[in-house]
Amino acid sequence: MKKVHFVKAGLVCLAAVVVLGGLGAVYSYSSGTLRAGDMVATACFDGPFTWVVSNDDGKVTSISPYGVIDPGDDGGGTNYDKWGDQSSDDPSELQTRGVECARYDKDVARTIAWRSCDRKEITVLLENAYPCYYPTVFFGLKNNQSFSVKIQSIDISYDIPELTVTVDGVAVGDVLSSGQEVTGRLGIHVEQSAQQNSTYNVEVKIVLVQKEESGCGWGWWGGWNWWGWRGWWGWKWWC
Amino acid sequence: MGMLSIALLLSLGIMGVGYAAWTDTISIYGTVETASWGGSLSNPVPTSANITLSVVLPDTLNVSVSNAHANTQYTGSFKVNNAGTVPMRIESIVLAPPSGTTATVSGVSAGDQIDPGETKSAVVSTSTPIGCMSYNFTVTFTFVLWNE
Repeated sequence: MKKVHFVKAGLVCLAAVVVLGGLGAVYSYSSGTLRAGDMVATACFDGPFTWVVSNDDGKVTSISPYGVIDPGDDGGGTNYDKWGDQSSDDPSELQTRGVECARYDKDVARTIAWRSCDRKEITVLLENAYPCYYPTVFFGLKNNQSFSVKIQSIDISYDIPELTVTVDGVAVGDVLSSGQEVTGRLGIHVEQSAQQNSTYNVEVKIVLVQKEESGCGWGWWGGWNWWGWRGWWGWKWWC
Repeated sequence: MGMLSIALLLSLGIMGVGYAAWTDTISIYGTVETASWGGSLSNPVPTSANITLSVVLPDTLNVSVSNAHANTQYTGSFKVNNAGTVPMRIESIVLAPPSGTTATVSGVSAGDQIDPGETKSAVVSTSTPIGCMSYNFTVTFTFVLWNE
């Protein structure tokens, strides 16, 4: 009778294991990458990209609490002005936030940038670009979670050597405490070998993970020795 | 059996929670659309007798003079265009007249910038000190982006 009772309990536990394991897996899977097409109402405006600024869209932009982000992006075109007030004299070097950068005396290309509804994606478009054009895009990255978040990886991929793409201001291993915002910077330099009438693509993927507040905790420890059937198991303090 | 199952339940449960820890992936997508660039020559027109002009390559003009009189200027006009979407600069103009003859281009010169859609007029002139001479030569332009 007692044996039957234990068998039943075992079966119940096994079922619970399977269900809990399945729930864990589903929950984990559901928190993966969101694409533009996956946007749902509850996801909107929750993403970590809080703002984005291009330094060649003709607008000097001020973001609190940093002040002016892209001085010099004044919409001018000194000796040639293809875009009017939609763009400025073209930047020829990477810009530092709040500091004017070197610019050509012509407004030939322009760069615009915007966020997706869910604020998890930024799209950057360089138009009429040419060799040595060098726009900068600044963005705010904020931890909107109630726990600390770590930048686990930053992968930059582009399919051609005709561009040089850099991301800084955010780095692998950086930890953002809850509510903390950092400023990132994307630079795209069009190289001399770029071909005319071409389209090149760039993708930067940033993976954020939950940062464990404490590095230690109790965990299960167990196994079997290879030379025999004698088992060992128990709780262990992991760090 | 019961104890073992409970232990298994707890350990796998903890593993499941651990696996389900929060993660998020955010992306920046960039697209670079490049401009079109390049200068070209067009509209070759003789402006004196005994001379013909033709554009043999987008950046090359061929000039032919037949039965030239000595010390007489033969001229023709042509256009220098920028049909691209980036300002161009004329890096060099190379004329290769035969020995004993002279040739010049006026109206444009190396270093000149030409904005997109802009056209500049130019004239090629040539002469020879020897009468009854026929010859031809090329005028070759090199265009580069204005910021090179």
